[in-house]
Amino acid sequence: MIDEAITDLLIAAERGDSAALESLFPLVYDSLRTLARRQRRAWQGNLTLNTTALVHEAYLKLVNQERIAATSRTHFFAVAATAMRHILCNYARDRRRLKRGGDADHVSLDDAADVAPDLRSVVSDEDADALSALDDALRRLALADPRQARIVECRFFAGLSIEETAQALGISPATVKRDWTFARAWLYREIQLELRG
Amino acid sequence: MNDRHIGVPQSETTVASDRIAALFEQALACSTDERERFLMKACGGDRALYAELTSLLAAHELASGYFEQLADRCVTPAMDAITSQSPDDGLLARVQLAMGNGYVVERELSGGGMSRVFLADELRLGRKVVVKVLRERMAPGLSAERFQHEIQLAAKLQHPHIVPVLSANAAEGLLYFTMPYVVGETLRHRLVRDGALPLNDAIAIWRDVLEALAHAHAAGVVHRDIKPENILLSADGRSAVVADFGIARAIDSAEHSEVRSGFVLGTPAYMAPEQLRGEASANHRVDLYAAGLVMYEMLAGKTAFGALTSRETMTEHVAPAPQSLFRQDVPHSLAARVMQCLEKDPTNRPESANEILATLADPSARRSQPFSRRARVGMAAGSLALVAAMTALVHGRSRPAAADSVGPVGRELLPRLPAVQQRRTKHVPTPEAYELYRRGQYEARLKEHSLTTAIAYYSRAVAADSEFAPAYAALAQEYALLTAGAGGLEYRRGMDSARAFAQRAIELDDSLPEAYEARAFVKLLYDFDWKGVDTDVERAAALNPYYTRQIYVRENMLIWRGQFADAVDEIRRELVSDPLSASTRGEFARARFVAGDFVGALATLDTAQTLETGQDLPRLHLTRGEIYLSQGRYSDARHEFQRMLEASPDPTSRAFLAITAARSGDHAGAEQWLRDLLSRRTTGRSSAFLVALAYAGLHDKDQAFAWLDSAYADRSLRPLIMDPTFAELRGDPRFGALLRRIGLGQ
Repeated sequence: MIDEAITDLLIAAERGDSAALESLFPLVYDSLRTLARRQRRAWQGNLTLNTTALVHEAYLKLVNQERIAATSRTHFFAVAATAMRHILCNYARDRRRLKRGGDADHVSLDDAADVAPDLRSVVSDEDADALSALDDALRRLALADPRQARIVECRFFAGLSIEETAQALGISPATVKRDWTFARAWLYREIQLELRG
Repeated sequence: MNDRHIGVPQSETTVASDRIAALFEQALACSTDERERFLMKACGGDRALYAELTSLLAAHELASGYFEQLADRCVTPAMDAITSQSPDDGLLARVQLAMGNGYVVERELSGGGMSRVFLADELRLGRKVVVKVLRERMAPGLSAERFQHEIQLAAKLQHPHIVPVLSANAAEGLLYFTMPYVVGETLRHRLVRDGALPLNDAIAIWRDVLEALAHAHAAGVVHRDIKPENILLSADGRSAVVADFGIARAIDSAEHSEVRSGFVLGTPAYMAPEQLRGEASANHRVDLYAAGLVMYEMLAGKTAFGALTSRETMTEHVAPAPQSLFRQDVPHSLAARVMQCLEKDPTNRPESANEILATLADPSARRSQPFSRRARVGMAAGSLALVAAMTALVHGRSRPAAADSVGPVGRELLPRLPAVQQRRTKHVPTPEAYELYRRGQYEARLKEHSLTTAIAYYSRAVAADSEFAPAYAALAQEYALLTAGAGGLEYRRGMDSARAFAQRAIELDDSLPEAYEARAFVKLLYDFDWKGVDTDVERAAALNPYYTRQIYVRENMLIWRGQFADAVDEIRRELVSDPLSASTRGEFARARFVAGDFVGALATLDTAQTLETGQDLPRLHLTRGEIYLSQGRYSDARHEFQRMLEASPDPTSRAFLAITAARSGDHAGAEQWLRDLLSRRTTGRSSAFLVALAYAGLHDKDQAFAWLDSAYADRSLRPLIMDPTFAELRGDPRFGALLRRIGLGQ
């Protein structure tokens, strides 16, 4: 499962090659999706592992540790955060569309078909709605302030700490903390309005 | 007025301004008792602001726990589900068993087509080795003896560009061999990442591969499986070593009681026709064929036979000739050598690797031909049709900048600008103005073709509050975008309005990056005031480093100046912060195209198209069309420009349809498009610049330069003229004169 291409790109990104960083996303996204698709074991309800530990695990599975500086991890985490957002939110969105029914034939169910059988036991209908509303709100937030949206991805979807998020995005921990507090309140309000309205 | 469209947010406040965020933070820092007093004072009668802040503060109380629990319920389990999948099918344990106590097999590295690769510690020598286990070859009845015997021959090879085989064995039903652990990437990695390689790198790598082949062939070893996956690169990417010598033959002999005469085993995509047919006469020239394919791929960024499945590849190799497609910086003699390697009939290929090496050593094969320096400048030159670019980038989708839609709003507004009073504190907009402004932002960002609607909202916002700086800045931006594609009077009016609005915004509030960006845009397109562009762009960046719109102004500035590589870098940086934007990626493709990297540009365009479906970005069609045009794929090019025409009223597509018609020999069609552009120009729906482009396409340089003069006069000149498509013009002294006239060039 170790992916040397991902490792190569992370190394290049660490050297400041920003093109490598941008090439990374599709690879990480595909790897995570492939893993999800291949996943056979239904989730057993184990809440002892936290998201942070799991992103670390994904990192261990995908990246050749020997070739890489420890600091490159944060780059991987930031990319994985965006990938996780897409996997989860696409799934949630497709599921909502299906639930509403009627227009199933014009909905692309690529992601749902790939991931749904495994995530169905994981995410409740209610939470799928919440995730979908969160995704919409995040899009709007990104228009106004892309940095805040990236911080939310790192904190929420990858479970990164304030410090890790700061390192991954190259900003100060104080900024992360301030933006996260504000974005969280703003998003919460948007989600509640969407779910109730 | 609360019209609800898809995607319109539920709450009244769409986006949080910095000011709200700052007040929110201060309010949180207050004790509960103080908070109310603070809010009253800070909002000073602005009820909308007060309501916004109290609702956010209330949300804050619940938000923290909510997101924690939501993450626990969804994100964590999903991540768990994703990562708990174990790829280990027990092969590692079997490899360990097969290799015995001398080794500790640590973990699996990547998997190749024919093998799975593990990393092991060789305990006796205290070194790391790579173990390659041959896939699908784990059947009983393998002859370890024959395998080892065959591989011994290859193991004797000692050459700086050959990765030695350390040991080989067949045990536990596995066929495997070990080689040194080489840190670095394979040529395949590099090709996937970078596409085509710089000429000097490609030549250096090819030389190393050929030297390895020459040595092995002299020792009687044919590789039979030369491909980018087997070529490992040094850290600087300029030297190479070749792995897996003799492996294909060894596998073959392990599986069959007698060594067969043909060389059927290999990777179909890189196998010579005679190898595919299993001909007895197959010899070392199968390696030269594969080496030719590898060189072709390094130069072209794609395989000689395109993306085909194995079966199709096999037929192709035996039947049609490869496409002869080379970059202009590749000397003819080298191109001819590579094509000679790809001859179907082995006797038509070069005699030996040494024969090719002799050509490479010949300086004439490496020196560019007299004309190619100019050709290269032409290839590297190019530009962005700024208008559509800015619109697409700003709004995240295509936003036509057509004169057709220029409304009367600006003309009415312009004379009404009242005198400015300098303020010390930030102006608090009236709730009505703020609401209108916010609606304008929505219109501009989220809906199709709503530039004029957005302008209408912003206009009403400044009518409701004449000191609301952000609304003026937004007006400036939208006006610049709306009129940039126009010609004539509308264009002049639009740009004058944009400049005036930007100026006004800056006078009211000198901390808005978007105001400086809008002014820079006008200076770039209309004033040709390069110094002013730099100053405003720097100012915008200093005000907010995360404000990225101005990067496109800078990029186009760089293209005008001929700094194409810098322009590519500029967009690359932007991509990091916005990796999912199809329009940003489209710009990256455009910059690569302008810099002469057609292959890379096409690859980036492919990615861009997978990112946002349902949105037809005209800019993607423009770049793709121009690339096809340069490759002589006229009907493909026409298709792209037609789609651009359908997706956007920007008349630029019409000029390119004229060029395509002219180049494909359809002179009547070209004339017709030209007449169309000329007649549209009289109504301000095309420009002198576009007419000039069409004439350039018709190879009428005199007319082209005459019209470029008019384009200079009416300010419709665009950096698009720097595109490779118009390379022909740049060789002319009149081009240099034109650049000097707008303050560029020597």
